[in-house]
Amino acid sequence: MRILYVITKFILFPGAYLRGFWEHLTCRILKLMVEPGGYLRPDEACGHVEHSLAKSQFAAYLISTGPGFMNFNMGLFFFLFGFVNIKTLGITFYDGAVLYIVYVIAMYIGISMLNCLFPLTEDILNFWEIAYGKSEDKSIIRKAADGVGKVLGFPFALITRAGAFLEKNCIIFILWVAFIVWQFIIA
Amino acid sequence: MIKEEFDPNATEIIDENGVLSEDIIDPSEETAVQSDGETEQEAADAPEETGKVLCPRCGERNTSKGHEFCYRCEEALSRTRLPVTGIIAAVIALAASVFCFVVVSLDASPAVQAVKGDIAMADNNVYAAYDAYNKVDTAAKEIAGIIGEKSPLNNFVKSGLGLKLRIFKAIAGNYNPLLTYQRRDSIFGDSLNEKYLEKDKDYRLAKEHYERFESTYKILQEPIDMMEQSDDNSRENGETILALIEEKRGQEGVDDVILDFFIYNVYAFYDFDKEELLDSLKKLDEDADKTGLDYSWLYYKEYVKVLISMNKPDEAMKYIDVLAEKDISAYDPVLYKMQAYLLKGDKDSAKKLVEEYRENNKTQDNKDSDSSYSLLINMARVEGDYDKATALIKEAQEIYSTVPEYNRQVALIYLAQGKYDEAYEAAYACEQMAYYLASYYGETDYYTSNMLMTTVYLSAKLCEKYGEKNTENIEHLQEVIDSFETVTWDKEITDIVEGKADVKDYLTKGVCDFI
Repeated sequence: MRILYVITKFILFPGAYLRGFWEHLTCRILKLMVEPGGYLRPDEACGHVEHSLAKSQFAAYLISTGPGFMNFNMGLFFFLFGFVNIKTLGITFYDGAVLYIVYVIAMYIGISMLNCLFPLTEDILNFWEIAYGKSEDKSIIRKAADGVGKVLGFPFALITRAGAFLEKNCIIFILWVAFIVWQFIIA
Repeated sequence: MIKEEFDPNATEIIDENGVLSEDIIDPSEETAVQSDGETEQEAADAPEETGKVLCPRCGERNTSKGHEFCYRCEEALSRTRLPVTGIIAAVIALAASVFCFVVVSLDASPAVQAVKGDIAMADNNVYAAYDAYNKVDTAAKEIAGIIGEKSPLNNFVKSGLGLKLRIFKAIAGNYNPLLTYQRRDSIFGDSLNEKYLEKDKDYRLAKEHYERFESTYKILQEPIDMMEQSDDNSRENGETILALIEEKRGQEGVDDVILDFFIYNVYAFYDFDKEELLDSLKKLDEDADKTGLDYSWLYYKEYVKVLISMNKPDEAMKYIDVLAEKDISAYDPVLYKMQAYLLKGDKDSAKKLVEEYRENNKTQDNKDSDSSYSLLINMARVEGDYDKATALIKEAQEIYSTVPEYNRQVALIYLAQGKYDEAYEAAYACEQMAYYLASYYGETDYYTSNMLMTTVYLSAKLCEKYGEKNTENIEHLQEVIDSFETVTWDKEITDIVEGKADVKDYLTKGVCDFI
């Protein structure tokens, strides 16, 4: 699985590289220690950076979702730019080779970004432990505020945790391949 | 992952959030801390004596309790430089994503129309799909008008060959591949590209149908010309032409199914029995089944009409369902199905069918479509509610002023009421409108339809026989009657003309219309 994971990250290297960059930037903002070594490396951390675990709830949440948020917002528009024009509006190679190639590349970059949204399992588990593990004694008001935050953030936390699992096992990549085959070959 | 447990007591280096203290980052204080540290280190005992561990990264200083590295290495690691290539890539990606966002926003309106078309096509609602697909370019032009015709962004807001192929497939697959292929120039315009289109199996199939038809037509040119040029529609003449056509069966380039279709046309044109006509269609159906190809577009409508006219609604229903499934927006299958229900005496099902069609074919501003009105008027007339039918006709004509069928329905109402002068005037207006549509827009189907011809002929004949003949277009009456001189009418029609049967009976029993 590790080999497949690394291969998929190298195939979709633009998104993996940018994801690593956003993660590095977030670590810098949060002043977390980062082990130098590049964003594209042949191990589980491909498309990520090795960094120390965050201690606070906010820092853990930000390092888990921030880089993915950036990749998602940018990748979505790259993907839609290519997909809407090629698939929905039916632009073909014969309508303009350059334009078509631009759309294909944009769609590829978009998919590569959308394939690299989720954090390493360690990061999301760290956040889960901090946010939903045993909490220290707090005042009733802080406990109530904390509880509201936990409830509101739960869907995102759950999606991120599930996404991290899917991404680690290359399931998101497989889903993308299936989607492309369905849209451009079967349909 | 750098594994470390932060020491909660080491607040001078790491704060409670696990973030390095800003104090450390100040270079002057850094030096101070360093010198203090060095002094402390110098003063400290050897590591093995204090239990402290040397930093695995630098190997020079001890790590603090619970830390993996010494404070200087931790500081260095938390300040790892962002690579220049990464910064450039991120800036470019951000700028490009903003551009993509702008283009996607501009594409939204045409894309919504294209998606609407795709959804309608998935439901086999060809009319709605065609309508939505055609609005894609209109929406793109509106966007161009907003951003300016000369804006380079216009290059990114347009439809392509793929969308035009979807329009082609929508019409060819559900209407008639032969005619659609013939009209491919008007569908694709300048973007017609055979190399791309031939990769699509539906396009290839339409082309094959066209080539087969053309090839068969060319080989059968002689008997077809004879049929077209002859005014003699006697059985003997028909048999001669049939023999000439049969001679060509099996020849290279002749498609047996298409040859059978020409044979059916001979039976329909010449003075043959209805049973013989039906047999020719059965033979055509068998031959089509053998090919494994879909020839329903070629003869199903004709087959259904013949079956209904021969009072075989159950048999007809099988073929109607195939036509209806292919296109839920098609008018003809619903009309035939309604007629089949009426023939069976099942008015409730007919009414329900019309209502379903009406709901499925609302216009974008939620009004009834022109064909929905035709069916509603027809249904009201069949039920004998002439006031409702007349009100619906007026309403429909205000919205759709060029639908000849509404005038025909007026004629049928007058015929049923015995008002033959008015019936003639309405039928005449209907014929004129149909002629106009055929001449200027090539819509010949309605103009050459049996139901129109019969309505016009019967109205004119009954007006001539029983009318007061003082209406506006009465001067054309004889001319109209003469134009049908060579037509062979069904016995039911000749009986009405000869006074042996009542037209009111014909229009209030069974199908209640001229098929």
